[in-house]
Amino acid sequence: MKRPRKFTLPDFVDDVKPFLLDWLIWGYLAYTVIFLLNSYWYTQYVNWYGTLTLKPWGWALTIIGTFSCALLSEKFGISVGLKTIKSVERPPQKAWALTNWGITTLALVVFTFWVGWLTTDMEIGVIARRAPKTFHLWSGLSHPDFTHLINIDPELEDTILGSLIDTIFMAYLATVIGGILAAPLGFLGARNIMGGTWFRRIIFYITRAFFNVVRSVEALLWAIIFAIWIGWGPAAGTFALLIHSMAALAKLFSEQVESIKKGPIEAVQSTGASFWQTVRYGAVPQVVPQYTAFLLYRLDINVRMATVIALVGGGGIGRFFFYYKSQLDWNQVGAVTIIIAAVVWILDYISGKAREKIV
Amino acid sequence: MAQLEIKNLKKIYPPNVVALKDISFEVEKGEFLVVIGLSGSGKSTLLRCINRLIEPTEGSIKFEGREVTTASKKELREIREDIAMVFQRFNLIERSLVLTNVLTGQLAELPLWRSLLGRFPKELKNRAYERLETVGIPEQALKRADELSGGQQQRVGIARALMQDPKLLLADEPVSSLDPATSGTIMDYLAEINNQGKTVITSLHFLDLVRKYGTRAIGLKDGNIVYDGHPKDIDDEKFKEVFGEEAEKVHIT
Amino acid sequence: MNDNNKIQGRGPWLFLRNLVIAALFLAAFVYALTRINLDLTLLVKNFSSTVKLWSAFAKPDWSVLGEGVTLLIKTLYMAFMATALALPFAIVLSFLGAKNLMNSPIARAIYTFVRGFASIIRSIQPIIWAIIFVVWVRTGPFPGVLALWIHSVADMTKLFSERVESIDVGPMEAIEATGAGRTLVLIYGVIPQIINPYLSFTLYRLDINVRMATIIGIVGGGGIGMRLYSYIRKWNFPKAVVMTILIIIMVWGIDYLSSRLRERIETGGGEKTEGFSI
Repeated sequence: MKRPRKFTLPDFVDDVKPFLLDWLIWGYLAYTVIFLLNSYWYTQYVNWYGTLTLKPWGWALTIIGTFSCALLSEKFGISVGLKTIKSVERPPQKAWALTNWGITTLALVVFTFWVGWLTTDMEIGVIARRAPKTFHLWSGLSHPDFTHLINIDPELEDTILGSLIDTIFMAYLATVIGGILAAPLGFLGARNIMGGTWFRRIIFYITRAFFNVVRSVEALLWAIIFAIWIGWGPAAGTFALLIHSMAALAKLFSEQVESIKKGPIEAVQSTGASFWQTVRYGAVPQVVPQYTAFLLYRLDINVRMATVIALVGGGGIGRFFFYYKSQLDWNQVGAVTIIIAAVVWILDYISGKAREKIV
Repeated sequence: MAQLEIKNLKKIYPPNVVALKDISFEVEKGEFLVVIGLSGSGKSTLLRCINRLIEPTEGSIKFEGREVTTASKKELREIREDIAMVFQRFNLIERSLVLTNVLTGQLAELPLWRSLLGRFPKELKNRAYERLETVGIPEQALKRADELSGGQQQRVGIARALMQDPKLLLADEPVSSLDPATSGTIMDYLAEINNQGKTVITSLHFLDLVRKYGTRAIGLKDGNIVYDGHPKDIDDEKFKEVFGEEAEKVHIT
Repeated sequence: MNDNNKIQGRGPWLFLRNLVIAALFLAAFVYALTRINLDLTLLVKNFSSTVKLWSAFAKPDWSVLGEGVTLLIKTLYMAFMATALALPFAIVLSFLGAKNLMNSPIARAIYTFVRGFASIIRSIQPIIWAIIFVVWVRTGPFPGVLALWIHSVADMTKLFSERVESIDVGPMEAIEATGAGRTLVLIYGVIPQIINPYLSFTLYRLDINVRMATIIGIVGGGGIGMRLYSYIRKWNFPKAVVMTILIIIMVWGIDYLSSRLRERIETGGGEKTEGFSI
C-alpha cells in the first residue's frame, strides 16, 4: 500500500555519509602515524612528549591524501563506511574474516591496538612492582571501620546511612522527573510523528540534536556545571542526573514511539472507540511497559552515578568516600566502599527482577 | 433494502495508485460473502473502506440505511459499534491481558473516564469471559496476549469482535497467518456466527475454504469486480479470470 | 462459573494494590523533594553565577584545539584498550559463569565464585576503580585503562554468561548425539549461537567506555577529562568549552556508529516491519 509522500532527506546525504566515515578513518590512520612519529622522535632525540606539529603543506598533503584514499577504498570494496551505513551484501561462500571488509576491519583493530598500547603508556610490570603500595588499601577494605554508619561525622555533619538515603532519593527524583519530562520530548523526537512537513521535520532534528548533545555530556560533567550554578550539595547532583536522564530517556521513548505498530490501533478504532480510548488501548500499551523497564534501568544507572557524583560537589554517599580517602583513612574508605557495593548490587538485582516481570 | 449497499466506490491512494475502481454491490442480512482476488487486488482496501479505517475517495456506502462515507465522527463511532473486524495479523495489544483485549470490543459503550481508568463493570467482564468460552479458550483469560499461539490469538480476535455484538463482521484474511488445521477451526467459528444471523464479509485465499463456507463470492481484479455469484459456480474458467493464468496452481489447494 | 468469579475477585484487590503502590511512590517522591531540597527557583535566582560559563560558549578559545584533539584520540584509545583487553578475559569467564554449562559440584562452585566476583566488581563505579589504580600505578592514562578494564571484564562477563545461559539446547544435543566431546560441543553447538550477541555487547561496552573515559581523568585517570577538569578549576571556561565540544562530537559519533553496527549485527541488515505514522 502506498502512503502519501513524506518529506525525506535528499538522496545524496546517504551517499555522502559512508564516504565521510571512510575519510574519517583514513584521517585517523594518518593522524596516528604522524602522532606516533612525533612522539617517537621526541622521546628518542629530544626526550619530551610533543603535540602534533606539522608544516602547513603537511596538513594539506594529509587532507588530500586521506581524501583520495577514501575515494579509492570505495572503488576497491574495502569501504568500512559503505558497510556500516549502507547495506552491502557480502558474498556468502567466504568466511567473514576473509572478505575485504573483514580484512580491513581486522587490520584496523590490530593497528589500533598497537598504537593504543603505546599511547596509553601501558606498563604491565608496574602493576607487580607497585603492588605493595596498595597494601593499606586492601587492609582497609578487610578491616572496615563502620563507626560513622549511624554516628554523625562532625566534619561532614552527617551519617553514612543518612547520605546513603540521600543518594537513593537523588537517583529516584532524577529518574522520576527526568522520565516525566522525557515523554513530551520523546514525541517531538519521533520520526513517525514528526515526519509530515518541513516545519515538523525541523523541530524533529532540533529535538534530536538537543538530546544527543545533552546525553553526550556525562552526568558528572553536568554536576560540575550545576555545582557552580546552585552551589554544592545533593540538589546540584540531582539536577545533573535529572538532565542527563531526561535526554537519555527521551531518546529511548522516541524509539518506542517509532516502533508503535499500526495494527492494534486499527483494531481498537474499528470497535468504534473514540480518539482518547484508541490512545489508551491502542498506543499506550505498546509504549508504557517497555518504557517502565527503561525507567527502572535508568534508576539503576542513576544510583551508580549518584554514588560518585560527590566528587565534583554533587552530594550523596560519595562525600564520605572522597573525604576519607583524602584523609588517608583507609578503614573508613573500606566501610564506605562495601556499603556502596552492597547497595548497588541489591538495587541492580531488584531492578533486574522487576524488569524481567514487566517486559 | 439490503443491509449494506455500496455504490460507485472508488479509492485512489495518493499520488495516483488506483486501488478500487467503481465498485458497486449489495449485501443482504445473513449472507456469508467471500471476497477473493490476488494480493494487491484491493480486498483489504474494500473491507477497510466499509468501516472507514481507510477513507474512500468517491462513492457511497450505506449500512442499514446510514451513510458511512459522510458520517460525522460521532455517527461513525456508532456505525463502527455495529461492524466488528477480525485481522490477518490478529492486531491484539500484545502486552495486555487476553481479557483486556476482549474488553476493548466494548469501549464504545463505556463512559470515557471509566475506560481511561480501565475500570470495566462486572457484567462486561462476565460477558468477555463468556465470549472467550464461546471460542473455547476461557482458561487463557488472564494470560498476556503475546503468550498465546497464532490460532489462539485469532480466537481472541474473534472474541473481541463478538464482544461488540455486531450486525456485520468483517474478516480481513483471517486465516492467512495460520496452519490449515487451525484455519478450519477459525472458519467454523465464523460460520457459527453467520448461523446466528450475522452477516460475514471475509477475504480468503483458498478456494476450498471459499466453497465450503461462502454463500456468495465476489472476485476482485485490479480494483474491479470480475465475478459475483455462488462459490460453487466458480469453474476453472472463472478462476483464471480472477487469479490469472500463473496463479492457478498456487491458489487452488 | 468458578473461573468467572476468580476474574471478578481479582479486580478490587488488584486495584487496591496498585493504589497502594502508587501512593507509596508518590509519598517517596514528596519526601525526596523535601529531603534533597530540590528548588527550581534557585536555577533562576543563581543564574548570574553561570553567566561567565555560558558566555564562554559564545567565544571559545580555539587555541587549545590541537591539544584537545590529541587528548581526544588518547581518550578513545583508552576506551579501546580497555575493551579489547577485557574481551578475552570476559569470553573465558563467561563460560565459567554460565549456569547451564557448569553442572558438577566443583563447576557450580566456580560458577558461584565467578558470578559473585563479577557482581561485586560491577557494583563499584569505574571512577572509584580509577582512584584505586591511581594509588597503585600512579596518575596517567594507564590507571584509567585498568579501571575501565576491570569494570568492563565484570560487566561483559555478566552479559555474556546470561547470553550463554539462554542458548538453545537443540544444536548442542545434535552435536552431542554424534558422540562429540565437550570441546566440540562448545565449538559447534555453542559458539555459532553467541558470536553475534558477543560482538554486539562488546560494541555496546566500547560505547560506555568512551563515555566513562571522558570523566575518568577527573581523578587522575588521564585522557581529555583530566585537562577539562583542570581548566574548569582554573575558571578558564573558554578553553573548557572547546574540550566539551570535542567530547560531545566524539561521544555522539561513537554512539551513532556503535548503534548502527549493533543494529546491523542484530538484524543482519533485515528490513523493518510497517510502523504507525501520522
